[in-house]
Amino acid sequence: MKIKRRNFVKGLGAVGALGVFAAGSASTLKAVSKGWWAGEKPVDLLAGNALPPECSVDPETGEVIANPDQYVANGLCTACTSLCGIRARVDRKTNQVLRVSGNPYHPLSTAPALDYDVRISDSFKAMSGFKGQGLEQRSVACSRGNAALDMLADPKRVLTPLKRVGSRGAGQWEPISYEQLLNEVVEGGNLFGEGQVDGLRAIRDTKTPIDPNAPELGPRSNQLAMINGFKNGRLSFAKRFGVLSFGSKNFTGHRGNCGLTMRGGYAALLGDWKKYPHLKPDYSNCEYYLSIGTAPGNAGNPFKRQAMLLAEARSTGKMKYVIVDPVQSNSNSLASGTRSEWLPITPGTDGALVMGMIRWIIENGRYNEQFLSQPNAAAAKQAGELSWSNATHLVVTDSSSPLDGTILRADALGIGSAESMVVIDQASGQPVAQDRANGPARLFYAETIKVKDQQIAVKTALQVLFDEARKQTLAEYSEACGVPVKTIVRLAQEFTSYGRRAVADTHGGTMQSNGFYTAYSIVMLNALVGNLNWKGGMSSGGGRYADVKPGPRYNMVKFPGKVGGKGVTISRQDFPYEKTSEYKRKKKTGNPYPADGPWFPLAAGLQPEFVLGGLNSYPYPLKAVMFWNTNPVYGQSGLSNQLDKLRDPKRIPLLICIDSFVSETAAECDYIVPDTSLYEYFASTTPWSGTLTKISTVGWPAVDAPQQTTPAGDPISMESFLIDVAKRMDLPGFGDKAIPDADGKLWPLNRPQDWYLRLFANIAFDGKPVPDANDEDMNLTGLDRFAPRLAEVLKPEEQRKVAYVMSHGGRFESEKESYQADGLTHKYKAPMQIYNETLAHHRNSMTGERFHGTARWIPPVFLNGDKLSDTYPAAKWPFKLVSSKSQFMNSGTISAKRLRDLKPSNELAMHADDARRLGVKSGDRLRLVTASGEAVGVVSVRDGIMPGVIGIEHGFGHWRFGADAMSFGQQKLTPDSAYSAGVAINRLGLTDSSRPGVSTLADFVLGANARNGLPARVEKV
Amino acid sequence: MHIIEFMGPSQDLYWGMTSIQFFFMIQVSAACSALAAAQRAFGIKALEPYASFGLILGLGLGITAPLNLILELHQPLRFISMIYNTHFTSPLSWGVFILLSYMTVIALFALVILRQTLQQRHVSGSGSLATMIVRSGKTSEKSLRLLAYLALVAACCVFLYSSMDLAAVKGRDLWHSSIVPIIFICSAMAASAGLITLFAVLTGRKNPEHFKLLRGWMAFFLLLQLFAQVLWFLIAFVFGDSLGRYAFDYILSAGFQNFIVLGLGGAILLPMVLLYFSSQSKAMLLFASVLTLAGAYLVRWNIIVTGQQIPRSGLEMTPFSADLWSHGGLMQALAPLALWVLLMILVTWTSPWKQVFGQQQEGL
Repeated sequence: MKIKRRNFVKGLGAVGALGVFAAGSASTLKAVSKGWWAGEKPVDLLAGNALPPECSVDPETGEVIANPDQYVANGLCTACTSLCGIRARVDRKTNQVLRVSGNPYHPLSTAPALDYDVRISDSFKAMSGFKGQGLEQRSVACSRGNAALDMLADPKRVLTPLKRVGSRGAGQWEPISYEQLLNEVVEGGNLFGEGQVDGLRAIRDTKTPIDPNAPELGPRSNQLAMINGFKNGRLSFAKRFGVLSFGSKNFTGHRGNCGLTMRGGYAALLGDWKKYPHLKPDYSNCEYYLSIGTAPGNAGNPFKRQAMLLAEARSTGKMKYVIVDPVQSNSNSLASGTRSEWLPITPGTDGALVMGMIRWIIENGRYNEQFLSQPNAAAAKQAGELSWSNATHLVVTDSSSPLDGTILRADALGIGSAESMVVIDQASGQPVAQDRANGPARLFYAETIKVKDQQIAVKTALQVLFDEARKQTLAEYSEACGVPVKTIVRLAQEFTSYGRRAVADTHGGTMQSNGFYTAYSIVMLNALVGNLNWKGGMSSGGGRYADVKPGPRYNMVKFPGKVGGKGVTISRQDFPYEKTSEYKRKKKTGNPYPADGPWFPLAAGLQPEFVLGGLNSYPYPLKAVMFWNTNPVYGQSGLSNQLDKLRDPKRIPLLICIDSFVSETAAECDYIVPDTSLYEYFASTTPWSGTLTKISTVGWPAVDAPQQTTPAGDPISMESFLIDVAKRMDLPGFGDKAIPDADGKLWPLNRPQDWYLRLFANIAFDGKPVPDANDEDMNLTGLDRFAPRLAEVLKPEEQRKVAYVMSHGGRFESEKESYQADGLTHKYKAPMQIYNETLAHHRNSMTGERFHGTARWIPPVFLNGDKLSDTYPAAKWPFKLVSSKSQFMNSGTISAKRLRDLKPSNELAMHADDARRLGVKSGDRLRLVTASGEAVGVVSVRDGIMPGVIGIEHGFGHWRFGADAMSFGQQKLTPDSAYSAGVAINRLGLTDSSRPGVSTLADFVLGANARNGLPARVEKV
Repeated sequence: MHIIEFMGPSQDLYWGMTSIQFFFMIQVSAACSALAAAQRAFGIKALEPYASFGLILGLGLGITAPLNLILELHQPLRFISMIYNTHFTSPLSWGVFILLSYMTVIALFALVILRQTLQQRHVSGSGSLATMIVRSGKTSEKSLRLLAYLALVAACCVFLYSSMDLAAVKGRDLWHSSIVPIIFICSAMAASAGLITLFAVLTGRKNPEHFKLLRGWMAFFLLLQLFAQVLWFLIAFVFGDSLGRYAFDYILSAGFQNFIVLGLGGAILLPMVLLYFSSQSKAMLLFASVLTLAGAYLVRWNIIVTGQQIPRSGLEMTPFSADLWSHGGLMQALAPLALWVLLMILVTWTSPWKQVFGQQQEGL
């Protein structure tokens, strides 16, 4: 047969076209072949396999018809430190959390929140399409909050008590009974064939001093340290055991590895080194927001609310905000045009930028004179101010005077009391007692004044700040931070152009060795515009209802036999070196400085120094450490390179970790005690100043925990374990007579609910008691399961009110109470400290130098004051490493598969100019080298990063949790590379050779762990 | 070095190659059909030799274009479910009904035209499809004209829906403009003329008078497209908000090659120059036609892809690369085009269209 050429070509074309069509549509055709017609019938033809809703709402009548197979537990998310209120949908039959979304009553999850008196069924209606109100009342969980429930069912979760087999850190574990765990932990013995280990019973001695030659160190019970995580609503229970009952001074949260520098900066500004209050912007009304060292769209507390309000503010066009950060984050948006700005900066130099701004603001008279010039609360009130400051107070600045660094008291001049400061009256120009001044005082004054027949130099606090700012020119500040002079001036101009509706905030981005002064400088900007307590200004938060503190129903902190911690913490925090026996001993023989180790008299929550103090046995040896809800081996920059010290039982003989997973820290311990995970435990907490109204968020077991239970039937957890340890040791505050009610009658603390339900009762009865929950509230939220426990623990009149608090996920003051006229309802009362006398009173224990009392610029330094740049010159270490926050992952969520799906790994973010210079492109592998470690990662070339900086997203590069091989008895777990993907920046952290012993780089004032601006070099792999 | 910022998975581009191709194919289909329907509706004699080509090309593209959406959705049932899940505030929901109506009307129109053509050319035979069509009845000129009007309206609806679908999206500054539909319509009309020219040459037509008409048609719509695009740029610069200005700053910087060099120069100005000289050169005409078609594809790529790359959050352009085999990748995008090519081969190869095209070839 003769084939025409045309037909041949057409035939060839047809076959080719058919082939391409088949190849291109193959995957779809494959999917179609698996459709419902192939037998895979979805649950619903329209909705597919989507979960049945928790209820349906009649669009005409609004009638709520609940799904009897589910309940919705309003509770608490602890997947990050924001502590949002969530609603967990739970399957009644399988007792599994199906979905997590936001609690519609909770201000961290929605704006505006539902009124607290709205019944649960009405909350369902409010979020439905009934009358089109669903979107308005929508309440959300973030990606992490949605995905974290994966962790509940992680196959690598610890479900039974584990005891190490072989050496510490070997990854081999033996499941043991709960009874064996309690016995060995309490009684000790030759537990590992390595010699005698003291148990908790032997350690608890609240009378005998650790060192008779240094009685200030306190009793031997201090040789147990409890190192804990963030305030997730359970910390106060652990503190009851460790401090009030066991009698150890050594109890800490994780602040020193998190945001201590920020908290310290605020503590200095707000003049409270005990409670460490801090401020947050009134996002809803502020018009200019300067964010330095925090990424409000990614992180910070409470990041979800911040992100929502930022998005709202920029879309309505009311707010302009500037994010100063070496790494550009999701906080910035091109869509907001000029209302959003990212300003890159050299890591560790934010202080230079801000001090440049402060210099310009004062030089150009752009500060709020009316606010700053009020010398006391009465004058401020008379002037219509909502707060005041010590800007006008006279500071002694005469190094020849013993009063140097102090704020001059009125009694020294014979014009007032010893409590009153001295100011220069604006009208008369004469010194007057600050508490008697009835009008404004001079802001700038630098003269000598006669005190007890001696002329001494004095300055106003603002003058001290100004003089400090003037020590460098704007050009010098610019050179230090990499921000052009004109940008520094523009920022200062902008910041002072919005009245009191301009705010400056910071957070963990200041965790560097000069972090405290950086943070103090940043937050000082707020004082210069006088925005505290004003609508659109800074707020110290709305507070919380009485829960742990002595409440209306029960006193949770007092009990017969209460001990309390005495002496010095192993971290040497909150105690001046100058009061120690070591100081006195050395002083007798000459120069008392440097101390044998650093002391941090102004610090609180100094977790890194708890670990280092224990490893160095300074100022005394520890015998046992109990870790709970924390992972310093991963989270403390520079510690993981010194694990040989932690693995040496001679340094700390007993390490116990209470955790749901074999974290990097748990893996180094002797025992792992299982813990409940989110949605499985009780908790009571509050947002971190991020809301304007009073809030108490509660969590309660929405589902049963899967692990082994105690003889009492509770899942083994921090609470049940500590209760059983305490009862075995006959410690006070636990057992049948432990919690006094308002009449002094003692109630039992034998199970976790004994503590938490009574604590919830305090919340319910604080002020005007909450309404009673009805049956419907309880059924819809799954509290019907809880009714027997409520009846068992609580008094009859408390049960329904506690159920109301639990059903709503807490107690929330109406958001209508946020403001009073132009001010905030909940105000911070104390004055802002332009000059902090307490700070100026203390000295660096390594050098003997007194700390400067106001904000200042100091480059990153070691504890002895040597600059990092001298030890690590840029010529050899051309890059600086910074840790950036992920909106998905954090240090403890690698077990959540859905989060790993969203963000499987991190990269080494590098600027395009650097990449071009090095001949590197995205996807290339690079080795990062610091003086203490090295790591290999994949490069991501970006414009959104400061040149000379490498950004590493925190939360990846795990080497435990399942990334390594483990065995639990006969069960062998193979390494899972999904857990180890990426780079952990903290493995590159530095040590500080200027101090003796085991060290990690720290802020020289507060001891906070320094993880930003690490000098590094790169090598191609 | 081209730098991208990848901030999170929410930044992914959801409308990829198959989306771009859907808009290209359905709008060129509507233009081809409109040309054919206009010829019948208004009795434009000059268009007559190309009307049936336009109709067959338009019908083929119309049938195969939705395959892009089906492949992108990955599950045809979802497309069907939109028929009984109507949301009248959603352009996508309207689109389902408009597309179905369009295809029904165009198919009917094509069938009637085919029957009339076969009857006029006295095609006969027994048992063949052509014979069945010939014997299926007669259509009055009035009915035919009514059907042509309906086809024209349906084509216009497709234009409006498929253009407004993008223009209505407020969050995408490159999309959100009333000029975008005009650009799409003009480029589709020019592309339809280019496609018909190519098809005519491939099927052996040689009448220079008729090519002159197509050249003029192509040049006219290219000129309109040029005017619309320049106006689009100017309005965005003068009256646009900050994001709009950013978008057009991008066009003048990193996007200069795609938007200006290729989009305006290569796909509009160059074909117009070639068309001017093409009366003496069929190669130039063919080249101009190919460029016009490519230009229509490019303008959609530029607007749809770049419009999504300008981020709603974050500061840098969102990355986009079309790989070969992935979902929404190149092979998946080629599948509908391949199906259309297959249909066109079959149409020109088999009865009864072979007889129509064969007679036309002989008659010209």
